[in-house]
Amino acid sequence: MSILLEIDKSQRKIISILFRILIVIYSVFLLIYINSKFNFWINALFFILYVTIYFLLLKKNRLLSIIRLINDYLFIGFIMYQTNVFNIFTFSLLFAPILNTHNHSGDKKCCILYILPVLILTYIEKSFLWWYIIPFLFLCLINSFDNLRSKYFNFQQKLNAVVDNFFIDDRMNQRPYKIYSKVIPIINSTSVIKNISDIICLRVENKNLFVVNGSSFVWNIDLDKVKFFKSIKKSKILYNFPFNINGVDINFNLVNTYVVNDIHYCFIFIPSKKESFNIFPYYFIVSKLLNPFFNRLTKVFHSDLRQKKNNLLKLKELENKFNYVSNSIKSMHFIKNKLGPIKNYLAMVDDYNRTDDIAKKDMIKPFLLEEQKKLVNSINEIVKRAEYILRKSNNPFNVFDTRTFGTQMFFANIRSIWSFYFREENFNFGWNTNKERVKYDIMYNKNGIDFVLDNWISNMKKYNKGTYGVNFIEENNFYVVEFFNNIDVSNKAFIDDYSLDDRVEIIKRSSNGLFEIKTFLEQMKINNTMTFKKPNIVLFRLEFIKYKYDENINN
Amino acid sequence: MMKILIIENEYYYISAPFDYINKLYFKGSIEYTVVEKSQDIKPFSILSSYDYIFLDISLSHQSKLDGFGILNQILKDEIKIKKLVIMTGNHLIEEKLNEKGLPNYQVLSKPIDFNDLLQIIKN
Repeated sequence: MSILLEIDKSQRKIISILFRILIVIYSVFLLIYINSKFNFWINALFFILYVTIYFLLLKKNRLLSIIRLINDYLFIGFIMYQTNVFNIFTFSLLFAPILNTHNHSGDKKCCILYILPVLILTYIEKSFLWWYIIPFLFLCLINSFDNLRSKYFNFQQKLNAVVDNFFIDDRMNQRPYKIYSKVIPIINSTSVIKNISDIICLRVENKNLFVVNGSSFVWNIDLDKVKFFKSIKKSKILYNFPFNINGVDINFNLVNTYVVNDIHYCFIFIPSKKESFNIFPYYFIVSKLLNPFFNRLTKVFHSDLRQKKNNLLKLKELENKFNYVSNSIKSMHFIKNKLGPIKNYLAMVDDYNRTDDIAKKDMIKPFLLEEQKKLVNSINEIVKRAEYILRKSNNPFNVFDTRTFGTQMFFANIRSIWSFYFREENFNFGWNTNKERVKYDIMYNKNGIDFVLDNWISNMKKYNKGTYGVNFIEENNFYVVEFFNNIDVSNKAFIDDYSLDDRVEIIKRSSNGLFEIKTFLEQMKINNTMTFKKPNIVLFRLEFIKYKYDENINN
Repeated sequence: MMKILIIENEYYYISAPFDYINKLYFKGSIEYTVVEKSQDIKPFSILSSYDYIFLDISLSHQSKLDGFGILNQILKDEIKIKKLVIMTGNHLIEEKLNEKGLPNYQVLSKPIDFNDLLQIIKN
């Protein structure tokens, strides 16, 4: 159920109790004002009886809500019988349940609400007059407007609950078309809209038509595209546009179009019977009923589409990396094959050296000479292939490509990665975030910085001895991010290894993470230092150059 | 005369160990036939006439079948081969043979050492 409907239900329950309290208080006032017929104890008994019966019938249930209403009117009738006067004070009590009708916690309004007061009047007056009905009919009509409004509100909230659940239900949010199986019964439950059997969603983008999804699977769809594109541009509501879906002609339908960022999303509503929507009163009502929800659904599908496009881009990125790795593996096979002459040459030399038989040696010599020639060829080819693998421009795992980011985005990124490893932030924040001051951006490669942050913070988590945190320092030309944590002093050799440029080629063979961090930071041109502060703190400092703020980028 | 068939598209790089053992250890008594592509084996049944078949798995782009394809064809046509040795640099060859439901043939790892080749042929 939608959150709003749940809140509304709770509110109605509270109001129901308050209403009864008001009825009791007002009744006491009336009995004092008009002088009650019965003595105090009889009145007290009826009051207690009324309240007790009410609380006994408090459970939500259509039958019990009717009995609660009867209980109210019996009590009201009892009070009015005592007063035996019809004036504004007593009529207020008689009309109170009707006036309170929009707060009713019962699901449906009941005609007893209007019949019982007429019966009370008839009983007290000891005669029935037709004019008694007129004010109640008048009130009934007024309440019916509220009734309609409530139905509309409930209808929209039920539909909204379907979309809300879409975001939290793992099964649904990978399959947005499953929304229709929940939505169609809700739409069909209204008496206003014809029974819908299917809903199909199309997308029109740059004069191209795509099937987005549908309540049933669309294998193929045929239509006059030119006519369709013209029609949806002219009107957001189309009736009975001819489609052929999965080989079946669909000539009776309603098409509602919604636009998001110049992309048209068209929902085709197919009725279960071959009946037109284009008749009174449908064309007044249907679109108004469906628009709020389907407008929202369009945004959900649009967001889903963007997500899929982003996934494809990531896949493309991954493809390049996969191709690189695949080429590297192929290259290793190639190199292995080309090592044949080298291995063979060495084996023949070994054979030559082992034998003392001159005749055998003479037989081996031509082979050695021949194999030597092949050696040169092999080695050249191996070196060429190795150069290809090592060449930086071929390597998709480089992060030379940087672009500008806002400081808020960068900070949010650090925070997000940090929260994966640590529960407490321990951030000492010193960047000036005053909106009036001159702002700056910074530059980095997103994948590169994510790698550096994730790698370093995970190491902090692994090796810290209880002290850890980040200092955010602002200097004239830099935004500085300084990670600190304490360590076991016996393990501090890595700090010197990191800091000495003279040992890079050595550390890259042993400590993968550190070497990659240093390499990526150098490729992104981010100044970085790692220092040891006594007694046992390692400081890892990154300096991001301040660049002129660009209002066009998303900070 | 021993007859050996070598199915390999880059024989230039592996000819030395074959020629070497033929001259030094078999006094030139081995007759080698080299084919580069599967379609050069005509008819396919001729495989049964060789004492040894050395088969490279990858072969050239022009070959209709790769090494696994040739092995499948041998099984399909029920050709009785005397001894088949797979030549490959792929260390996962045994797993691949299992995956494809092929028998476990002897493997001669590339780059080829003439000593390993000699052991196979002598045995």
